[in-house]
Amino acid sequence: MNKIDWSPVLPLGISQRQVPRVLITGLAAGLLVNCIYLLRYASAYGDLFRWVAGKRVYVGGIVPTFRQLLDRGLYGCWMAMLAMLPLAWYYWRSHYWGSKSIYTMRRLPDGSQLWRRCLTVPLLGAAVFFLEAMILWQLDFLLYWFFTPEASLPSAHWTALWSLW
Amino acid sequence: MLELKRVCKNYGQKRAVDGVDLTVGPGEIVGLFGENGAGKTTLMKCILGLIPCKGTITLDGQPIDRKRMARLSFATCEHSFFPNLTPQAHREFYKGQFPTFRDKRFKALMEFFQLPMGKTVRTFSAGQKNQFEVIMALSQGADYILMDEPFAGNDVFNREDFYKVLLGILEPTETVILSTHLLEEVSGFISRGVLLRGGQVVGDVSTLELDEKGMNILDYVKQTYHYQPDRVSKALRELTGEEE
Repeated sequence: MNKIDWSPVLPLGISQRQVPRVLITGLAAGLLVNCIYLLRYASAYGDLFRWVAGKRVYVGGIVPTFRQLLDRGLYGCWMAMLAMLPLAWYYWRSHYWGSKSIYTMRRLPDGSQLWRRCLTVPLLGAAVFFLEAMILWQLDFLLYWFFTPEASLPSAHWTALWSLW
Repeated sequence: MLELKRVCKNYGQKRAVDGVDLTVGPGEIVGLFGENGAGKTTLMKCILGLIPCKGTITLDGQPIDRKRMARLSFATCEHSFFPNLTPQAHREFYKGQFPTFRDKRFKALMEFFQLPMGKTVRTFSAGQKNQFEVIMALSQGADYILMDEPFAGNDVFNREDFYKVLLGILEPTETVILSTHLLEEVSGFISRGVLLRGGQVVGDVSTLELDEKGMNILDYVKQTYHYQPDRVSKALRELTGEEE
């Protein structure tokens, strides 16, 4: 697979290696924070069982709602999205560091150059992290739905999913 | 023809450019002079659309839109190049953006000033940065080349070389508007001097007229500014008189 040439959508002189770094860092932050949900679910699931004579036995009980367990589990994705704002600012300000290349960018016949180079990567990042949030939300709920014994699901679990927002 | 009519620019309460009317035709080499704060840089930025201003600025009778903006280039002492790019990368970018880019002129000037094509501009000396800034402005392929104090920091030999090269390479239809404090140096190659004071045009004279009057540009500026040659000696007399 050919490497992607990010140079047309980055401020001139900014390293292309920044783009995968930004995306990977944001994705990793989203995944890492989502582990809070996994730990909370594991704990809640574990509370449904007891060890009896060396065997794990289901004793029942009701797990917290998905919403309660997810809590801040998607905050990593939201923070990664928010971090795209200072990134866009950084790309804009880079035209004032070491020179005033902003004068050249604003004189170009192609008026989209400046905005494209300042906003494409931040918008792409925001879209990717939003998509990550949606996928994690779905995966987290599927985990909750398939692994929790039906008798232990709270009665309003479906509305709890949709009431997340 | 570049025409400015009643161009005004305020910074808060301060009027930086105050009702400037100016017409610059093709092929002119115009020296734009004035004390610090006279409005030279502000006027150039207004022409280039880098700052909003009142009044009208037209090129061949038409407002300067994105397409016509390519007919203007700019060299500034603040530098408008991309510090992390090499000259080669600048060349590629400019060729892609400006179809009229003068590649031959660019290569010739880079060679003449012995600037390295493969090093980032950030590694250049201050003088080399100035040279590169002017090279880009001259190579863009613009009809009107605006230069704002482009030689600040360059040594006298460098500047002399540059004036000679500039006169040699400019085509008859290329226009230069050059803002500088180095009046005596540029007097030999400008065709017209425009003097700004307090944001207004207080003088506008061709070098031919000055020649006929037996004046040089410095004499004209002093005359227009009502420069008092004895003001320094007066001040010193007062000062030493006080101390005694």
